[in-house]
Amino acid sequence: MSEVKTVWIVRSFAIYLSLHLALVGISAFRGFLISLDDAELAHYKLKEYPKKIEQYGGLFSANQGFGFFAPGVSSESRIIVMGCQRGITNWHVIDVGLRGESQHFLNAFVGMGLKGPARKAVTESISAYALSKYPDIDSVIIQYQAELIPPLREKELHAREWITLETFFYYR
Amino acid sequence: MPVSGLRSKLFSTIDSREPFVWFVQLLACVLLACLVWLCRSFLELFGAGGAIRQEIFLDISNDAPFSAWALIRYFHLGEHQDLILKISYAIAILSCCLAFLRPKDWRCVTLLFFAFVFIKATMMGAVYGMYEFIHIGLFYCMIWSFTTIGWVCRKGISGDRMARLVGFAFQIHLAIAYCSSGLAKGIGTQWQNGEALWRSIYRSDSAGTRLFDFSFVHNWPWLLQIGCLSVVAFEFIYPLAFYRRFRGVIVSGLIAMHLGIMIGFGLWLFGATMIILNMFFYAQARRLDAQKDADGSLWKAIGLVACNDRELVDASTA
Repeated sequence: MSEVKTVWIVRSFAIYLSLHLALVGISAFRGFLISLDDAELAHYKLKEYPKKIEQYGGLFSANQGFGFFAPGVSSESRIIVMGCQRGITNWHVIDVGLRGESQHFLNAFVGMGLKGPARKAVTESISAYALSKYPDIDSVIIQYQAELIPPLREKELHAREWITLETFFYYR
Repeated sequence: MPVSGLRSKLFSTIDSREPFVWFVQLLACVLLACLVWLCRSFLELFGAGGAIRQEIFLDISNDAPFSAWALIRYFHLGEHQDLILKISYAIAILSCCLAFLRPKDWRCVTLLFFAFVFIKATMMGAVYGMYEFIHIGLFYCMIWSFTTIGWVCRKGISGDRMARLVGFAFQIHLAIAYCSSGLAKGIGTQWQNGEALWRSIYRSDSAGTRLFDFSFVHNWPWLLQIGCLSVVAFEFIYPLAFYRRFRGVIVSGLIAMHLGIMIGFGLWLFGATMIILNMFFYAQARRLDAQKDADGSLWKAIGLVACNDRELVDASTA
């Protein structure tokens, strides 16, 4: 037996992987178009994959764009939760107790561009969490903030600044 | 020990074992570290009394049919949310341990992949780059593990050749990821004038994971500009790492970049994941090169063109 033909199973794997990589390549290109933010290319962005392909891509990680930190690095976003005790008018910042990897998660969730009803729903949820965690708190203010990063060419660095994008108020 | 001695020792360690074996083990370790780190506040974020309410996830779970939220919606298990999350978390921990101990067992690797995907989809919207790349790595590990199943080997193809085929597909995937990322960064003015690196360094450390403050580099904007341009260049030319001549420089440059991300930005697990992926790319490329030299062509080396007797002997003894 000097030479044996490649068996069908290798070809099946190769064909499957080629199709998978084709989807990866197309998705990466779509991701690049999104980072271009060009109106002329908008119609490419709007075309969605068929649902089955979308689900396949989600399950097997083939439908991602790879424009991390592109075309620019956005500011850090955060949520500030302030509570006020019954009968006391002073507001103080509440520590919701999230650290490390959990804080990465919350930042990713906050920073993913939540707007309108979605942003309101998340703040309602966090206020309910804060009110249940701190029973002595009567009302809660939640602020969406973004960090103001000084430009690189600025001569001197000042103290860190945060700008409040939106404020929500909740009470028991 | 002289540098050359250290280098040869490192390469002999890398080459001595099947790359997919240590790839599975290292990814399982990173994932385990991530899950342990997340342990204390997993339910505080996603649980029934957590910071993000169930309704928010249920509203957007149409995009994630394989998640705890889809399970809750389809089977009306709303009141058992914490239990479902705890079970999926425990399965993920268990699957990491099993995959680490039995990296060649396709059942363990497949369990790890699906346990990870379930946890990732459950944390929808809150995951970042690290999870996407672990997902990519585990996908190819799972496909490789299928090639170790007995009836696949018995068809007459050695597992080693199949591992090279799957590894080659992974290499292409990583090259697409880096190249498109470099292209997307390159068109941004922030990456052209150094502002992007400055913003990354200056951004607040709300997660509390940074050990060092490098904001003093503000005094040398040219240094940041060189750094930005280097990142864009290295990422964009990553496909050249398929060639022996450029591979060492490109892969070590990117590993240095990810070390910088670990130390400078405090993204320890993300940096570790990317370094593992690059190490695997390198090890896989070396194996492919060695086989290409023996077989004379890339297509033979990855098994797409007829195999020879030696490969069949490998298969029968596997």
